[in-house]
Amino acid sequence: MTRTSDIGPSVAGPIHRRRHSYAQKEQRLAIYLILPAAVAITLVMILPLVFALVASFFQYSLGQQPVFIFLGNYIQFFQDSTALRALLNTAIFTVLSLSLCIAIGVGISVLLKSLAPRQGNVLRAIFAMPILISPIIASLIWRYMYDPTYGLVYFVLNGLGIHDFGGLTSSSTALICIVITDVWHATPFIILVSSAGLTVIPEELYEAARIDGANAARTLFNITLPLLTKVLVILVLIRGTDAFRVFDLIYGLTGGGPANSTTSLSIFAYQQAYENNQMGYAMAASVVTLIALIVLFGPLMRNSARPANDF
Amino acid sequence: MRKTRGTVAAGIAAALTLALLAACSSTNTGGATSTTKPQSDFTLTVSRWSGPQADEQQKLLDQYTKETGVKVRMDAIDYASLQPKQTLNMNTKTGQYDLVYMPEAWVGQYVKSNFLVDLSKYVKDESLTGKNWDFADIQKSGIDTYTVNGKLYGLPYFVQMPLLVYNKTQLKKDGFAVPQTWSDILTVAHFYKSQGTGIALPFRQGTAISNVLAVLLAGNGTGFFDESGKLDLTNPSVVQAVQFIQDVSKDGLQGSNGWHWDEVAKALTFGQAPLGITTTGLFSQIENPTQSKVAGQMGYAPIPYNKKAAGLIQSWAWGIPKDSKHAKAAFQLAAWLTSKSAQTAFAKMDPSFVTFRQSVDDDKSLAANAPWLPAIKEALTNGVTLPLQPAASQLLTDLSAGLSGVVTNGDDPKAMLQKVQQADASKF
Amino acid sequence: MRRKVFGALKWLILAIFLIWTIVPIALVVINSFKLPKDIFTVIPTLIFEPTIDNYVKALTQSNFGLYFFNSTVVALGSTLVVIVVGTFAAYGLTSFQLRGANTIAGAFLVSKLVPVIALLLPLFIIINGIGLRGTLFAPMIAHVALNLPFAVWLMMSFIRDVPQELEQAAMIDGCTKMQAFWRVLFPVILPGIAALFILSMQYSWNELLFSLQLTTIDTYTLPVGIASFVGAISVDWGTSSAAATLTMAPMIAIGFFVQKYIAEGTTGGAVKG
Repeated sequence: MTRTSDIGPSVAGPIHRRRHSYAQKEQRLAIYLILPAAVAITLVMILPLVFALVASFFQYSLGQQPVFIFLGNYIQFFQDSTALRALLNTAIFTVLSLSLCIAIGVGISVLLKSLAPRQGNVLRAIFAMPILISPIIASLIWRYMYDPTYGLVYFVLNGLGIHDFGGLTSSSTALICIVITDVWHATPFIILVSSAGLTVIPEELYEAARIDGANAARTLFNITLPLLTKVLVILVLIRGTDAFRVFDLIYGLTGGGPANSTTSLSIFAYQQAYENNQMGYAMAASVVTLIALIVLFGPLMRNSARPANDF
Repeated sequence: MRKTRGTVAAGIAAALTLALLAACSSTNTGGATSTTKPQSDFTLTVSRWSGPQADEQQKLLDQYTKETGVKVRMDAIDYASLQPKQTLNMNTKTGQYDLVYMPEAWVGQYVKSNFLVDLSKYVKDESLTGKNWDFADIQKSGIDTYTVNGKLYGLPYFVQMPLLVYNKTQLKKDGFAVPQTWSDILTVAHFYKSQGTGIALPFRQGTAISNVLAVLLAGNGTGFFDESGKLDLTNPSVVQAVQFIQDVSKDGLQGSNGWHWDEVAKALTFGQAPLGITTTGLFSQIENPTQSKVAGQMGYAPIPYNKKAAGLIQSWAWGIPKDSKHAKAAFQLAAWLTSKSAQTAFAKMDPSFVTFRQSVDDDKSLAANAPWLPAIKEALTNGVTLPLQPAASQLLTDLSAGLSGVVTNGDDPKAMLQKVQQADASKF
Repeated sequence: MRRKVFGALKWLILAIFLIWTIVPIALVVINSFKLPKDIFTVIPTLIFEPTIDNYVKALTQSNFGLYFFNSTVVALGSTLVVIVVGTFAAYGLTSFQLRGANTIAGAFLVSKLVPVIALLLPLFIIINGIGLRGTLFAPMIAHVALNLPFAVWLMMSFIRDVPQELEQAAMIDGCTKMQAFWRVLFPVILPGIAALFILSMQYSWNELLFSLQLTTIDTYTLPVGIASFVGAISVDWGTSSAAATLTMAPMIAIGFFVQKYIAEGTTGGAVKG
């Protein structure tokens, strides 16, 4: 480990030049470090994105001659009531699911942190379980839970005296039911990552607060949350953008019904692409999704991309 | 700390090596099959859905390999992923599939996209079909379904149709005859709804509800289109049929608005629903004594009608992708699969497997296990298919969303139909 | 007194959350040991005749062994690549004052915003074009790339939390940049890596779309098998539950094992500088 470093005195020349070449070397190292990730992302995501962008300007069905219609697909999108409904559903779903996940997830991980390490570890491991389950299985489980005859949800609600719960079959409650399932499935993601973020916070800060006589609430708002901000921003970005592109759970639970009340943008794009063979239109819907995400989360991204300002 | 790093690095290295080795080697682990004939030097790959009938299919394909020495592999995947997978492969010309299993609803797009081989010449070639194949034995309605612009693109294989399933014992006890008309069924369903159950209906937003509509339209002497082929959803007979859907849904078993065929079949199998509407493809489970609480008690009838009994022919056929490298061998397999002996064997294993072959459907020994055959025959006298134009899938998507609104939100049938008419009329 | 009330409230909340988390999972595990007649009862039954028929069916009816093997290779392979490539990229983007680093990081994140559905067709063409369609590399590449933006950003946020002085101190001691990374940063960001391991592993283990569309019969993974049980035509609850239990068990075991590193944190001692 104590091998002579590359910037030994063997490098000849005046000092400022040496610095320069050192800096160059460092920059080169940085590029090598980034390159593999950049190649993978370009190949799998950026190139296909360019393809999608181009295709969205065409009336394009697989195996058929594409026809250039410029913004035609986009105009159609904004005149299509199903598409607009999907946009609205997606927004509602994202807001509800994201805020519930973050509130519950951070709350639980802060509580876990306050436990003895062994208790905390066991509970955290149990709490992490839902995220480890595939969305297909999660929707399978919850379809059974929401079954009006055999489902546990109805069994419990009947016990509480509620007999007219619409569940997945009413357009006023179906989306809420899916949000509940998503919160069940995705909150562990928040718990895991914010637990990791909490661990990095130096113990000394808490000790100092304790000595100062700060109560639990003040510790939470003055130390824990501010120091968790960066991880929280990432969590909001990742979870928010995942929620905005929700597909599997809805596909498994309702297929977008009843009456399109749970159709998300991804479900809509999938139907257009692979059931109706309107690939160009589906790509336009996907680009709209992308732009909506950039508008919604762009400010947060820029914020988080700024270099660290140390506390 | 140094130790941690060492372990992590070693672990990564070991796992990566394993992963790479596995990724390289796993491409050629073909399944070994016992054979009596010398094996072909190529393998045919068949694409179909997994689940019901897939096991039986595999047995037949194994038998084909035994008889001819031609290696066949079945790629059975989840129904929901089947069309994307076939489409992606045929579009990119990967040559992955030699035979694709497709319902009539996909054929319009497949042909328009130039994905399928024209089989018109093959079916006349006795060197490919074998001597006793008997093309004329296959019902014309099946052949017509897969004929586009005078060319045949699929060999029809399996037919199913939605029917009314009812508990004979229960209905008799409660003093009801077999419900035949709309008003019959409304009376019966209403009675059971007041008893706490109701009629099980496949009214989830999806294909089933629009299929039921198609039957009801035929039963009301109308269809999606007028005589000149224009979309005609605002016709009073269509509105009447949608109104009936709304009425009957009010007496639906709780949950019906979220169900597909399979969930209705489940509700019937476990004795939860005294009657329901589901598809013949799932009837085996209802009559399977080891699974079902109602085996032997059920009766089958055409979906109730307003004017005359009607049925929806929903079928699956074998098509050959243009990018198949063994189109002729694939056709030989398809011909074998649609031969009388292979179809009889299939129907023996699974009584819900109904074919387009007149001779198989008339086979008395098979009919004993398939109490629904008379109902199918009755419905077939006024059999219709779903619209097959390339734009039809868009129409059916819109209709199923609209119908879902009619049954769950109480939307006005006429207003819904006008909306769909407006959105889709120009596409036909 | 207040402290006691607070303590009781804390445990109440945790208990409720525990029930909320566990009941749905317990339900599927219990159902996997039930005959259909016991699954479909109006009042949930806890006393029933347990059966392993569902497991026998799940294991014999499908290529469960092959799927399991493929899933292991794809999930493990892609996760390790994600961790190595993602962490290095995050290091390169944060600790070198590289010009354009923010732009690159931004581009990574924007790529994460593309709906997966839109990627399928072009990615299928690309993967087929480079001859990897049908190999286990195909889903692996997809999973690596899809997880990388998250990995890079997560690790960037962790690395930024480590005071720069630590790294500089190590370099004054004679470490190269990479040595400084291993000695100073790595132990501190280990909780983040553990979290990344679990999350990336579970994504890859459970991903269906690419694992199904970019592969062939020999390279299908567990979710493909599960989906074929759950299929649209008929839901065989008993067998599906058994297959589901078998699929989620290894992930939950790994989760139990790895998550302790998430909470262990900076015990490496390297930061005490």
